[in-house]
Amino acid sequence: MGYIPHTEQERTEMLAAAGAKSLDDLFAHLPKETKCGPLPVPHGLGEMELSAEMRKLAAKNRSAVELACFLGAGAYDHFIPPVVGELISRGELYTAYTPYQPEISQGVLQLIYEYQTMIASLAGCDVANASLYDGGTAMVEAVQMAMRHTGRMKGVILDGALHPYYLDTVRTGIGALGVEPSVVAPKGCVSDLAALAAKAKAAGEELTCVAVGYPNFFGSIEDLGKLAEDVHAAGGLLVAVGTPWPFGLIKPPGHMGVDIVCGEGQALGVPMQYGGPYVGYIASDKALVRRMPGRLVGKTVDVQGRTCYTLTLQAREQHIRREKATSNICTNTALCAMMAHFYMSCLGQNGLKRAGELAVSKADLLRGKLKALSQTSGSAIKSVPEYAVFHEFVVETKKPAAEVLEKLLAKGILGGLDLGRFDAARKNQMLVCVTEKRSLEEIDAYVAAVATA
Amino acid sequence: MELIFEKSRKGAADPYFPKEDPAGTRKAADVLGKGALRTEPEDVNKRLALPELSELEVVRHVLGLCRRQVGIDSTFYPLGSCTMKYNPKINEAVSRMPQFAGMHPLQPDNTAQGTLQVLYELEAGLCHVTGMDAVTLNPMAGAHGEWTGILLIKAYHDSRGDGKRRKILVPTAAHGTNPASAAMCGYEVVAIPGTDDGLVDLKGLEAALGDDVAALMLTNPNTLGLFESDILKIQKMVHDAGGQLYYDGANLNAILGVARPGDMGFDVVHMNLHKTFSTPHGGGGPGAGPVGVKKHLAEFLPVPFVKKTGDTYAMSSDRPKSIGRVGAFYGNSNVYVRAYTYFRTYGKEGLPEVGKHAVLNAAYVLAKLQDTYTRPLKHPCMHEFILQPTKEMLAKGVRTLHIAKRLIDYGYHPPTIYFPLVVSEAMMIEPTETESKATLDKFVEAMKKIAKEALETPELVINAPHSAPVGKVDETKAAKDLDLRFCACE
Ligand SMILES: Cc1ncc(COP(=O)(O)O)c(C=O)c1O
Repeated sequence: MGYIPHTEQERTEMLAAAGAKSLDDLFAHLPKETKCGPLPVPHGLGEMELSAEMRKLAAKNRSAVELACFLGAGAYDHFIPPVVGELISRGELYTAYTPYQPEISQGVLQLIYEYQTMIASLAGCDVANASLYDGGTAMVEAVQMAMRHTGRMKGVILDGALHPYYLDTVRTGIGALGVEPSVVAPKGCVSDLAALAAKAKAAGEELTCVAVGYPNFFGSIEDLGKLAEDVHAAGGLLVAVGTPWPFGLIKPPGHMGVDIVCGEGQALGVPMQYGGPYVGYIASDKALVRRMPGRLVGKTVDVQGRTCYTLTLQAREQHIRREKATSNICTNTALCAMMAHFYMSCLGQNGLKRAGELAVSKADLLRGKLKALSQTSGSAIKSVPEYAVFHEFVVETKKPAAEVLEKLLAKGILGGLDLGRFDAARKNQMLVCVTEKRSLEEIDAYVAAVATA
Repeated sequence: MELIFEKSRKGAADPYFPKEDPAGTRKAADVLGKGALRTEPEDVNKRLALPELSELEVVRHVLGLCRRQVGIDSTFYPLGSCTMKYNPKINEAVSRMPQFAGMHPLQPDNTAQGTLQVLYELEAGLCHVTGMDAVTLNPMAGAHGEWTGILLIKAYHDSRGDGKRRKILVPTAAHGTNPASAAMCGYEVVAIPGTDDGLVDLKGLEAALGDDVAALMLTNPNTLGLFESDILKIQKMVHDAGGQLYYDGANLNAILGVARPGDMGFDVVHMNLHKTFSTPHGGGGPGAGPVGVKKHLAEFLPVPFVKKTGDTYAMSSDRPKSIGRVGAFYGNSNVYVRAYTYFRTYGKEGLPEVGKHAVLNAAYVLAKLQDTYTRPLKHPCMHEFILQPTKEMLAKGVRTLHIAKRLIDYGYHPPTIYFPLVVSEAMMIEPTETESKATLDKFVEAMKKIAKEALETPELVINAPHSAPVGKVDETKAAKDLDLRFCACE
C-alpha cells in the first residue's frame, strides 16, 4: 500500500515480535471513544492515475509561464537558471532535517553559513539569520527584535507604503501583545520620510522603531540616510522592509544606517508558487545579533581542529529558552535559503547586477511608453506618477484598473495589480512590475493592449 | 571544505543575460541616478560578497557538500518527533509542474482554479483526518500553527468578555515551541508536571486549573511517544474549568486514520505536514502547519481562505471576526500541493495503514531493543519510543550522546537525543512506516553491537564518530568566538 513496504509475512512476524495479534491490537489501549471509522475521503490512487489526476488539476491553472507576468507586489517572476532546480533536487539536501547533528550535516550547515554571508552582504549588513517563513512574518520578527533591544513595547511606527499584507501581518503579530502600531500615510506613492521622522520624535521615550519600505510597496526608492539619523536621534531603531533583489545594483539599506533589514527573499531564485514556500530574511548590525530570532549557523572546529559549522547561539531559541525565547520559530525555510544561495552563486555579483540593470531599463521603457500613451486620447492610461523606482511603478487608469487588467488578461497578459483591492481611493491605479525576464515583444504587446483598452 | 567565496575568481562570466542593453532603452545607471547606486564602503563586512564562478564550479561545490550531508534518501533517519518518512518523488514532480510552481499569489482567481481546488479539497481532507469543523492553511510551520491557534483561543475568550484568562498550561514534556508560542501571544505559561509513567499528572493539572486559564496545550501521542490514556478526563477537566483545549498534532502520524483529536474533544489542532504528510523537511524547512478548529472558533480563523460557490473557487478575506493575516499570502501553497498528492495516494483505505504501520515499526524495534537498553516507560509505545543507556553503560562513561554519534559510524542518522527534557539521557527513536523490516533489523543489530562496545570498548563509543566528515564539534567555541559569515578580510 503506497510507500509502506511490508509484505504480509513480515507484518505477521513483526506483530508476533511486538506481542500483538493484529495491527488494531496495537491501539487496544486507546479509549474506544477516540477511535474513528473509515474517513469520508476519496479512495487512494496509484502513481499512474494520480499523475493524470494532478495534470488535470494543473491544467485548470493559467500560470505566469503561459501568461506574460507584469505582476509583482511582493512576488516576482525572475529568470531562474535551471541549475537551481537541479541542485535543490539532491536528496541529501531536501530530505534532511534541521542540522542538529553537525557531523553528518556539514553540507546544509556550510550552505546556510554561505547563504548568511551572501544575504547579509547584499543587505549591506554584518549578519543575517538562517531564514524565517516569509516577508510578512520576517517583518513581525524584526519589530519584535526592536522591542527586545529597546526594552519598549509601544512606539512602533510603520510606513503606510509597506505591503498591505505585511502591515496586516504585523497588526496581528504585535496586536497579540496588545500593541497597536501607528501607520504614517505615504505622499502619493512615496513613503513620507519626514512625517515618519516627526512621528518618531514625537513618540519620545516610547519610541521602539520605525519600519519603512525600501523599495516600498509602490516600488519607490528613497535614500534612508536622513531618516536613520532622525530615528537614532529619537532613540529608536530603523527597520527597512523590502525585496533584496535590487540590492546588487542600488544602495542597500545597511549602507544608509538602517539597523534591521528584512523582507521576502523569494525573488532570489525561488519560484512564485502561489505565495509559498518563500524565504523571509533578516539582517542586522552585529551588535543586535543576540536579539535575532531563529537559527544561526556559526563557524567552529572539530576535535581535530578542522574547520566546520554548527547551529549556534541556541540559548536564544525555543528548545532551550522555552517561553523566554527570542521567537517561537523552529522549522524555517532552509531549502528556499539554499535555492537563494544557488541563485546568487550562479549569477554572482555581476550577474545579479546585470539582471537588475535589465529590469530597470525595461521597466523604464514600459513606463515611458505608458506615459506617452497617457497623452493620446483612446488609451486606458490617465497618467504615470513621477517618482524614483527600481522595476515597479504605479500607473493611473481612466477607468477602474480592474477593467483594464481584465482586458489585458484576455490578451494573455497579467498586467499588474489592481490597487483598489487594498484601498478604494486607488481603484483607478495599478501597480506594474517589469523584471529582466519580460521581452521587448511582451512590452510592446502590453502597450498595444492598453492603447485600446 | 573551502567556502564558495574562497573559490571565487573575480570577473568570472555568467551565461544568463545579454550584455547589450535592449534596443531603445536607457542605461540603468542613468535611470536610477548616480546617488541611488550601490558603492562599496570601507567596511569589508558591508561589501557585496557574492562569489564569481562558472556554473560548473558551483555545481561541484554543492555536490562536494552533498557528500558531507545525509538525508532520509541516504539512510535510515529515526529522528524522534520529526517523522522522517520517505518523501515520494511524485510529490516533488507535481509541485514543480510550471502550472503550480509558476503561479503568482495575486493572480485573478479565474486563472488559479487548479491550485484553489487543491487547497480547498486539502482543507476538507484535513478536517476529516482531524475530526475538526474547519481548517486554515495559512500557518507555515508547526510553531506558526501553535501561535495561530492560541490567538484563536484568545479571540474566543475575548469575544465572550472573558478577558481574565491570562494563563496557558503546558506540560513540562512539551516541545519548546509550545511555551514560546503562548508567550508570543502575551500569555503567562504555567508548567504542568508529568507522572513517572510519562503522562500528564491529573493532580497537577487540577491544581493549576481555574478561571484564569485560557487553555491547555497537549501533545498526543505525547513527546514521550505515549498516548495520554486519560485524555478524555483531561478534556473534561479543562472544559469544565472554562478553558480551551489545544492539540499539538506534530505526532499525528501515530493515529492517522485511527483516532482523531476532534473526537477527543479538542478545540484546536495543528498538524505538521512536513512530518505526517511526507512533505520534505528541506534541511530545516519549509514546512506547513495548518490548523483545524471546532465550529465555535471558525469565525476567528485567519484570512484569506478559499471559498467555493457552485463549481468555482475564490480567495476570500470576508471573515469579519478574523484574527487577521498571519503571513503575506496563503501559507506555503506549494507544500500543500505535495501534501495533497500524498493525501490522494493513500485515501480512505490507505491513511489508517500509515498510522498502523508507523506504530508497528516502533513497537517492533522497541521489542527488539528493550532488553539491551533501558526502557524507562512501561506504557505501550505509539509511533516512537524512548530508550536510555543501561546503568552498566553509564558506569563505563558511555552516554546517550556517544551512542548517537556511534550510530553515525554504522551509517545511520542518530535518533533525537536529550528530548524531551524530562527524561534523562533520552534517545527518542521514530522509525516511521516507510522503513522495511530488513532496514529495521539491521538497525537493531547495530544498536546491539554498540551496546556491546559500550561495555567492552567504551572509548570506541565515547570518541565516536570515527568515520564522519568531521569529528565532534566544538559548540562552545562556536558561541564564544561568534563567526556567522565569511569576511573577505580573512
Ligand atoms: C511535538 C512538536 N511540536 C511542535 C513542533 C514544531 O514544529 P515546527 O518545527 O514545524 O515549527 C515540533 C517539531 O519540531 C514537535 O516535534
